[in-house]
Amino acid sequence: MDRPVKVGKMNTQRSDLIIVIDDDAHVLFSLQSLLESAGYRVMVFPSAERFLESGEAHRASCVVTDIRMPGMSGVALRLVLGQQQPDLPVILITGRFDYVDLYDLVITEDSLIFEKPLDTSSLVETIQKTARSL
Amino acid sequence: MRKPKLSRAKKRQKSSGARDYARAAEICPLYVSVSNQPAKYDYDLCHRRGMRMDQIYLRTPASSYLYRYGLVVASCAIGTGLGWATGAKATCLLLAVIFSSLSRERIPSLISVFLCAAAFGSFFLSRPAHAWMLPADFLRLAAFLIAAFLVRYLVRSGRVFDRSYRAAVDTVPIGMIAVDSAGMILSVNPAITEIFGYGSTELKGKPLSLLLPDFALKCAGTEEVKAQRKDGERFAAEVGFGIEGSEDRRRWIGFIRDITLQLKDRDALGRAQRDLGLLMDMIPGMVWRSDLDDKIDFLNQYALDYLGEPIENVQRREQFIHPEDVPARQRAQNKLMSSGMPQAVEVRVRRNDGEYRWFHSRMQAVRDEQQKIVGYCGLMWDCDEQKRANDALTAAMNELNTLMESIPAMVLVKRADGTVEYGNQQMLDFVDMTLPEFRQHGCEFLAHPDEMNELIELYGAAVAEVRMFRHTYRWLRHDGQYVWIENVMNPVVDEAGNILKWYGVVLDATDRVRAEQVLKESEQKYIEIIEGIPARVFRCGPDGKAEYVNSRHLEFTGKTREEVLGFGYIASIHPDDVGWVMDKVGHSLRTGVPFRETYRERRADGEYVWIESSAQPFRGQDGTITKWYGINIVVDELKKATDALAASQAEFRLMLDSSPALICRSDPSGRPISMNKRMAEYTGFGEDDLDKWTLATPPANGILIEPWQRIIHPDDFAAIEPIFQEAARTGRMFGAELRLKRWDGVYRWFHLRGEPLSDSEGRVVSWFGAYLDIHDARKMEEQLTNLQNRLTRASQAAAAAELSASIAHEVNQPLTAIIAHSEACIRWLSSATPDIERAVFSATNVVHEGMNAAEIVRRIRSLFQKAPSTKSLIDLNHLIVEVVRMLAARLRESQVTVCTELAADLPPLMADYVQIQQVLANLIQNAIEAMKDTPAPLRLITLRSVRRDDCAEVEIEDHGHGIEDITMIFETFYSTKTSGFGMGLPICRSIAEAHRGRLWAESKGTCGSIFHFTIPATTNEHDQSPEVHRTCPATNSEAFSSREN
Repeated sequence: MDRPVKVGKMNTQRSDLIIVIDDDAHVLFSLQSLLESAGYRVMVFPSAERFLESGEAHRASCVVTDIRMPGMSGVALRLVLGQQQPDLPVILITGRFDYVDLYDLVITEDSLIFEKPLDTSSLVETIQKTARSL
Repeated sequence: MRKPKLSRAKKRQKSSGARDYARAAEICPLYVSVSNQPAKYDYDLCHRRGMRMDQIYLRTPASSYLYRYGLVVASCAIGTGLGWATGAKATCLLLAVIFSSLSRERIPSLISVFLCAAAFGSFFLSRPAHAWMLPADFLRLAAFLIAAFLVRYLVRSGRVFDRSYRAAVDTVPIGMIAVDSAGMILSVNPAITEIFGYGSTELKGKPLSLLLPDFALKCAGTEEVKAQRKDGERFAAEVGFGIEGSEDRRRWIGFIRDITLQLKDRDALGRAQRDLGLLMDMIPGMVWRSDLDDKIDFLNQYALDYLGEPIENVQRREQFIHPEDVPARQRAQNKLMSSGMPQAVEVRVRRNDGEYRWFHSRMQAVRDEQQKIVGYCGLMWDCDEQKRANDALTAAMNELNTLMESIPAMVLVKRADGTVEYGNQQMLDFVDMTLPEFRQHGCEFLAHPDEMNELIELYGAAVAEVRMFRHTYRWLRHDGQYVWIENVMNPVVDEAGNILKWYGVVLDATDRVRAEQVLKESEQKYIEIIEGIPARVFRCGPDGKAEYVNSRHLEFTGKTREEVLGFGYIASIHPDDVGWVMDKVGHSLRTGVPFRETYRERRADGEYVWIESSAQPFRGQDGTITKWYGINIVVDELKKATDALAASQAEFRLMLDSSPALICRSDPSGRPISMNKRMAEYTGFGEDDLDKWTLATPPANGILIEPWQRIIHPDDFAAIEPIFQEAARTGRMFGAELRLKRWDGVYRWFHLRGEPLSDSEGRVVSWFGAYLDIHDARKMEEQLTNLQNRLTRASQAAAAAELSASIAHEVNQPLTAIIAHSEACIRWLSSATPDIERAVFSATNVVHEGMNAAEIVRRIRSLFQKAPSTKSLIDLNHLIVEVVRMLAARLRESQVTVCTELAADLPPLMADYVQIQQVLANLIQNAIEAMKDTPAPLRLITLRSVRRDDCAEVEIEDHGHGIEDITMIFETFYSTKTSGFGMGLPICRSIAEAHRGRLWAESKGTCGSIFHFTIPATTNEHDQSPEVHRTCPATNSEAFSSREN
C-alpha cells in the first residue's frame, strides 16, 4: 500500500501528468483508475514526503492530495508547492471537512477542496479546468 | 609776792643799769629765774594773777650763734693785728682775750683762749720752729694763759647777770618801767610799748602821768588805777613801784599790768553767783541749808512761798511738819548728823493755807575742801500725788493679794530662773510652809521622782519656745502623799521676748486622772478587740484623714503608724487606682454615701493585692459626720477569679460576636433570651424586643412563634414550624435551611442548626440556634450546577459529534473508492472505444470496496456491544425522591414545583438503577423544558408511582406546551428543542424496552403532557433474558442503541 503505484497504461491524447496523494491505498487506487479513465497520466504517492522526494513536481500538471495524512498534511504540501511551483494547482480532498481549521480555510481561497465521498465528475472537471499545461 | 632768789646777783651789783634790771626783776609780779636754762614763769604765780597758765621760755635766737663765734674770731684777729702793729704783743693779745671773753658762753670763750694761745706761739717763736716753743717760753705761756683765763672769768661774771636780768625784763609780758624822782620815765621794757601803743624810745623823758593820769608815786604795794593808752583808751591797770638807788639818785622801778581781762572775769563770777541764787529760787522744791548747829541760813523762794513765813520764823521746823511725821524726820536728821551719810524721808509739810502735803525730803552734809562737814543742805519736793497714787496702788495690791489667797486653787509665780517668787495660801497649805520657806525650797522637790525627767524636758521646751507649760503630774503633799495635779504656767515676757516671770495655777487633778484611767482601761479593751479582728480596721476624720489604724493594717502595709496616719495611706494604693479611688473617697466624704470599692494596695512585701475597702460614716447628734469607720479585706483571689471569669466571658462574647454565624439563645418555649451582635444587627432586634418577648406568655406546651415569624420567610416558615415543634417535643438537635429577613427586608438563605442545652436531669434549659449564612454559597452552588449541566450537555454533544464524524470518515473512505471506481467503470465503458477489461476491473473493485464498507460498519458496532448491564432490586419510590433531590437545584432555578404521589404497594423490581434513574431524570428535564413558557405559579410537575397489575408504573405529568406529534417524539434525531439532539427519548424507550417495560407519552393538548413508564415486576431472578441484557445499550452510547431500535 505504501509504495508508489505506477501508471499502467497511457490512454489519452493528452499527456498531462496528475499526481494523486493519499494514505488510503483503496482511495488512491480508485482515483488513479478514475483519472486514467479520464485520459490523464497519473502518478500516485502514499504520502506528501514521498512525492516531494520523487521530484516529479515540476512535471506535474495538477496535484490531488488528501488533507489528513500521517506526516505532512495536504495543506502543508500545498504551501510548499505554492512556493516551488506557484502555478501548479493543488486540489485538496478530505473525509472530514469539519476538521479543516480556520487557518487552512483562509489560505484556501479558491474552492479546490472536495469532500469525500467525492463528486467525481466535478473533480474531473476541475482538474481539466485548472491543470497547467507544460 | 615771792622773792626771786637772786642773792648772788644782788652782791655783785656794779652799775645802776644792772641794778635797775635786777630791781625790776624783783618787782616784777612774775616769778623770774635766771639761769643757763631758759627762764620759766611760776605756774602758781600765773594762776594767782589770773594769767593764762603758759610756759614762757626765753630763747636765744639762732642767729646769735654766728654772731657770738664771729665776734670771738674777729676780736682775736683785731687784737693780734694791733699787737702786730704796735709791738706790744702781750697787751694786744690780752685785749683780744678780753673781747672774746665778752661772749657770755663757755665754748666761745674757750675757743677765744685757744686762739690766743695759738697766736702766742706765732708771735714769740722763730719762724722755722713756730710750731714749737723754747722751754724758756713755757713759763711765760703758762703765766699768759692764767692771765687770760682770769681776765675772761672776771669780765664774764659781771656781764652775765646784767644781761640775764635785762633779758628777763625785756621778755616778760608785764610792763616794767623806771621813773626818776621827778616822775619822768627813764626806761621801759618792750611790754610797756606793747600795752600802751607807744614806740620804744617815744616814752623816754615823758612824765609818768602820761601813762597813769590818776597815779601818784608811792611805795605801797600794788593798786588798781586807770591807765591811758596812746590812743586815749583808758583801761584798768595794776601798778606797783619800788625805790632804788641812793638818796641823790633815787629811781622808781615799777610795773604796770593790764588787768581788763581779770576784771571782766571777776564780773562774770558775780553774775554766776546771782544766777545760782535765781536758779535756786526757780527749783520747784524746797532747798534749804543750815549750819552745823542746824540753824537754817538759806531757804529758796519756793520754800518761803510755800511756808508763807520769813526765814527767821522757820528755825523751828517741827511746827510745819505733820505731827505724825516728826519722829521719822527727827530720826533721819539725827542719823545724818551722826553719820554724815545722805538721808531721805517722806514727811507731810503744812502749806501756808494749813493743808499738809507729802514731801520727799533728801538731806546731806556740806563739806569743805578738806572734807570737813561745814553744814547741811536738803531738797524737798512735792510728792503728794505720787504718794496718794501709790497708796491706792497698795490698796489694790492688797485686794489682789486677798484674792490670790482666797481663790480655791494654788497660785504660783516663778521667776525666770525657775525659783519661786510667790505662792498663795492654798499653795502654802499644800506644802505646809511659809512663803519664805517655800521660796527657799522651791517646788522642784514636790515632783515625783519618776516624772522628774519628763518634767524637766517639758519645762525646758516651754522655756525654749516661750509658751505655756501645761502638764498633769504628781506632787508631794505635806502629808507625804503624791496627788495628781494639773499645772498650767504662762510666761510673761518683756519687749525683747525674754521671760520675766511665770504665772500659773495648780489644780487638783486627782478625780480627772482617775476618770481618765478608767476611760483608758475601757478603751484598751476596745482596742484589744479592734486589734484582734482579722481585718484591717481604720478610722478617719470627716476630712478623710486617717486617725487610727489597727496593727493588722500596719502588718499588712509594713509601715509605721505615723506613716499611715493622716493621708499616708494613699501612698499604698496602686498608682493606677489612686486617682479614681480618691475621687470616690472624696465623693463619699462630701455626700456621706458609704464607701465600698475594690482596688489594689501594696502589701509589705511590695506586691499589690486586691482589697475591698468599705467605710461607714458615724454621725454626731446633730447629724453631721464626725468619723468614718471602715475595714479593708483582702479579696485578691476572689477578684482575680472574678476578673478571669469576666475576661473569659468577655472573650466568649467577643468570640460569639466575631463569629460569622448568627447565634441566638432562647428558652425552651422559644423566647429569645440573648443573641450575638451579628444576629442583632442582621435582624434589627433590639433590647426592647427581647424584653417584650421575655414578658410575653408562650402558648402552653408550645413555642412562641411571633419572633420567628418576623424573620423567617413565610414560604419557609410553614416547613420550619413543624421542625420547631418536633424539636421542642423531643429535645433533639435539629437543622434546616431557611430564609431570614434582614433588617432592610432582604431575605437571605441560612442554614439553621439548633442545639439544646440540658440540665443535669436532661431537661432542656435553653436552645442555641446558629444561623450560618449560606446564601452566597447556595447561589453559587446553583450557578455551578447549572453550569455543570450545560457543560455535561455540551460535552455529550461534542462526544456525539466526534463519534459520528469518526464513523462518517471510516465509512466515507470505502464510499469514495466505490464512487471513483464506479465513475471509472462508466468512463471506460462509455468512451468511444470502451475498455471492457478496465471496466470489469473497476466494477470488481466496486464490489470489494462495498464489502470493505460493510466490514467497517460491523467493526464499529462490535465496539459498543461489550458494555454489560447490572441489574438489582430497586425501590422505585426511593429512586423517584432521589432524582427529585438531584434535580432540586434545576427545579429551583426554573421555579418549578415537584409534587410526588407515591404508591406504597409497588412490586419488587429488578432493574439497572442508573439507567432507570437516567430515564426519570431525562423525563423530568423534558417536563421542565416543556414548562419554560408556562407562568411560574403553574410550573408543577406531578410524579406518581402506581402499581398496574404486576407492573410498576411511573407517571410524569407536566403543564407545559404539550406534544405536537406524539408519534414523532420517539424517533431518533427528532427534537422540539433548539439545543437537543433528539436522542433522549429514543434512548429512554430503548432502556425501557431493555427492561421489558414500555415508555409512551400522552398529550393533554396545550395543558401539558403525561409520560408513562412501566417496568414489569420481577417474579424470578432467572427470568431475565441474557439477550435483553446484552442488547441494552450502555448509557454512554445511546446514539448507536437508538439506531438499532
